[in-house]
Amino acid sequence: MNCRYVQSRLSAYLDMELTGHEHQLIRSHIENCIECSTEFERLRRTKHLLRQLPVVQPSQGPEAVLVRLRAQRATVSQNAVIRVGWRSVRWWQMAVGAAAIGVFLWWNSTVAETPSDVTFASSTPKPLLFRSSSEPSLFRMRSPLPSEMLNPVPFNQPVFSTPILPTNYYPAHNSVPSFEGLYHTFYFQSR
Amino acid sequence: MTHTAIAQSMEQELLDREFDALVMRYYQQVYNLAYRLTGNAADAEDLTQEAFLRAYRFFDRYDPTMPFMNWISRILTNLYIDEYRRRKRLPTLSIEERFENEEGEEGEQLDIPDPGPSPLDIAESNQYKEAVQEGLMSLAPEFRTAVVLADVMGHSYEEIAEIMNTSIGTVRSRIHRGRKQLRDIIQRKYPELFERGDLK
Ligand SMILES: [Zn+2]
Repeated sequence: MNCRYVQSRLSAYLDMELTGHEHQLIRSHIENCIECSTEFERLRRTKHLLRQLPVVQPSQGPEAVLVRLRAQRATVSQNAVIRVGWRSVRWWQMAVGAAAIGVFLWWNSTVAETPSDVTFASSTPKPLLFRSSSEPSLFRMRSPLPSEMLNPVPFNQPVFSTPILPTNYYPAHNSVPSFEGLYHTFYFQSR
Repeated sequence: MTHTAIAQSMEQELLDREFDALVMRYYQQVYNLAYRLTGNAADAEDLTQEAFLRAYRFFDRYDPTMPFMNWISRILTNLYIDEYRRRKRLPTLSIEERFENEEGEEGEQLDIPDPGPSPLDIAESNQYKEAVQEGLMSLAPEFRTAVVLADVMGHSYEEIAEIMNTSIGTVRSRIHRGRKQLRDIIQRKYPELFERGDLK
């Protein structure tokens, strides 16, 4: 076994990455060869210096990553709305939309004729879509539903009532499946 | 909205939650790897963020039998080597091609700047650490990556081969050549570190 061969194996020997037999051969050579044992000692010190390097502490934590992840998830769900909204509209969705327009027009005219002291509108619990903008949303960065995009709504009704809040305002995870999650599903299914 | 869609959305929600937990758990370790590769905080932070975002994009392909740290190390080192090549406009020729025929001492003569006169009264180990990091920065990215994965992160050759998507023989050669080049650089600046006697 010549020195050249031994020296080409010294790092692997140092790292205990040789087979038992080869390890033994290198070891017995090093014990009897000054040149190779000197070279081995230098490599050992180099590794030692590397291992002594301290773990570097980042100046900021993982928040920046989490914020960017949330933004990315929101973007994906918005793209999905566009794709799903215009691709997979079925006839019955069209029919429901048309019916909704009819019902709304009828309801609108009824309300217009009702005297102002009737408390019908304000005492009724507000459905989700008509929630006032001051209430925090259950959903992070909620995007319009496909049905919302199809059904015309009165101009004075806040349909997209979700206030835009700082990202950290929203809980990281909801206990209920979010709409954006559903959009994810559609997005991946339609690809 | 079908039941399947709802079930899948809940599944996505769980995956997102799981991934966020992984970010929090491994951020510091990943950052440390990025720092030892890039040598500065700003690049390390960028690289760390990009690695996590890319990992998220491909999370559905993650095989949980591989430790997450190894998987994200693979993504990060790929990003790093690509970016390094792009910035330095170096050709992506295989290191093995350059070294294929040699076995012994003569490594590639890298263009290492002369470190200048070394102060004789160096007692501060911090200065050694700086010299080690500086030396790492002089290595070719593949060598630096292999050495950092082995000696800083403590990975086995088998794991490094998986992370760097190469053979164990290549890993062995990269680590050996990387260490030898590093030793030469440090020794030129701080010869006392390699003189006879115990390591500090
Ligand atoms: Zn020898």
